[in-house]
Amino acid sequence: MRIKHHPILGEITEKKIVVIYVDGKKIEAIEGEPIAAALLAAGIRIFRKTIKTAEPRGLYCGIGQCNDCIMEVNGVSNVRTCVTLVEDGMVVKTQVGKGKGGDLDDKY
Amino acid sequence: MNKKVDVIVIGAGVVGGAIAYYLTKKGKSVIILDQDEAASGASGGNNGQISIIDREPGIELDWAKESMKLYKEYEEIDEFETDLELTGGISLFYNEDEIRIGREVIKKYNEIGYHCEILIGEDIKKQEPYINTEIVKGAAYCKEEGKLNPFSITLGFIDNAVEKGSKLFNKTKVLDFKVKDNLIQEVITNKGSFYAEKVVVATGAWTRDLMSKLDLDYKIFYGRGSLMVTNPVEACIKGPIVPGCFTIGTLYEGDWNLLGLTQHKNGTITIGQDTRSFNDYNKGISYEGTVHLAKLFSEHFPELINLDIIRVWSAITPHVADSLPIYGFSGKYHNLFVAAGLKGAFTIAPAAGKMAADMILEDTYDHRVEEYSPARFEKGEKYEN
Repeated sequence: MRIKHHPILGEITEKKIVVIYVDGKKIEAIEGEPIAAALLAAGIRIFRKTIKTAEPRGLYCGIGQCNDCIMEVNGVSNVRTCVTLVEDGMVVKTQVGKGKGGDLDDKY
Repeated sequence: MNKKVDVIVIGAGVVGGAIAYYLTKKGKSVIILDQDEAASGASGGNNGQISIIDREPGIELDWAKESMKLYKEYEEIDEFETDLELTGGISLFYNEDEIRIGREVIKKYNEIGYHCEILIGEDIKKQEPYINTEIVKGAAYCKEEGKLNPFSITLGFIDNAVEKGSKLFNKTKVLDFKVKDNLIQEVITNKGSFYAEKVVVATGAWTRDLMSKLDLDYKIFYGRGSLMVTNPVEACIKGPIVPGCFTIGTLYEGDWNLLGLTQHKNGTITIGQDTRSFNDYNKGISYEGTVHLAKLFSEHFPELINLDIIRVWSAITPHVADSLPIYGFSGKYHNLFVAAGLKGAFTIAPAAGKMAADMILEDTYDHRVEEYSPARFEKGEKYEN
């Protein structure tokens, strides 16, 4: 769902449509919009699962403060999707629990 | 409301908390006063490290050893969680000179039974696999070091004391004292007067100001330390990491920022510290300090540069002119006990608090803390900051 006719901002203008991959699923997004906006437009509302009880979380504050909408984006975890803009070919994954600490297999 | 109790503890940090906890346990009625709230000063802004090899052998290490046992006890009897983990810790060295001094320093700890060794180059990665050994040339490893949860511990002490009948007064600032015959008769605050047989001052960085109301000039100053914290991530930093200068006693002049960090049980990493001396209690953070810290961290841990910093804060931390704690009964006011300037207080607070409670109740005197006596600052000399 997108707002196509906004009473103040006016009509949505022609935007470049790109493709991102969310948990392996291909979805269309408008280039330069926040990842969270693209996910909501595609009907995806669960962005991550909490650390202790794996409860679903999604967009909450929408302005980069609350860290509820963090996901793994292009291999980087804890990315705030409400303030990170869509780029063509982005790979986005639901974040379950803590973010990745580092790439080494044997941590220590 | 009963404002007359056995003991008034001023300062709801880890030291005041531990003292109140043990006094309450011994059946005493205690009032805890804090100008802000529990764990709102240095105890709440803490990095959560257990530090051993920056302490002189003696009572401080005895306290540290006993405190580790006490922390386990709190967990076992289900008092509160401490998140204590003895992971081992490292102090970082950047050149041959520092490594050489480090070797000398750890000898004295090995002699008294601590497991310390100097790690060189790739060996450092056995403890911290992500550390950049291009920059860090060596490290002093101490097996007995580790980490804990400062909030849980400070609030644990205070909540337990309150559950057992003691009272905590937040936002209660001590304005003055009424004294008669070398005894503090009354503690005057913005919320009225409080009365007790004995008064404990555990006010950290605020101690000098508070003591000036008693015409005492304790040479205890303060600085501002800033820390930043990341979003939670999987375990990637094993133990506490501290600047080597704390261990080898290198003197740093003026402002400095050095890297020290801890990854906590919940996965967050606190990264410090930008520490400077100021003459005010401003808890703001500096832009330059924060940027510099972030840069230092990324140089030390290039593989972890994607960590997301979500908050930065400052805490006011005390330091005593002669680097010794101020701990014991005042020589001038016979019912005043001071416990301030305990460096790395979380490593020693349980045992120091327990001993303080014993001293306060039985008026006993432990000769091991003789040199910490506040009386050394009560000889009438005025000090310049």
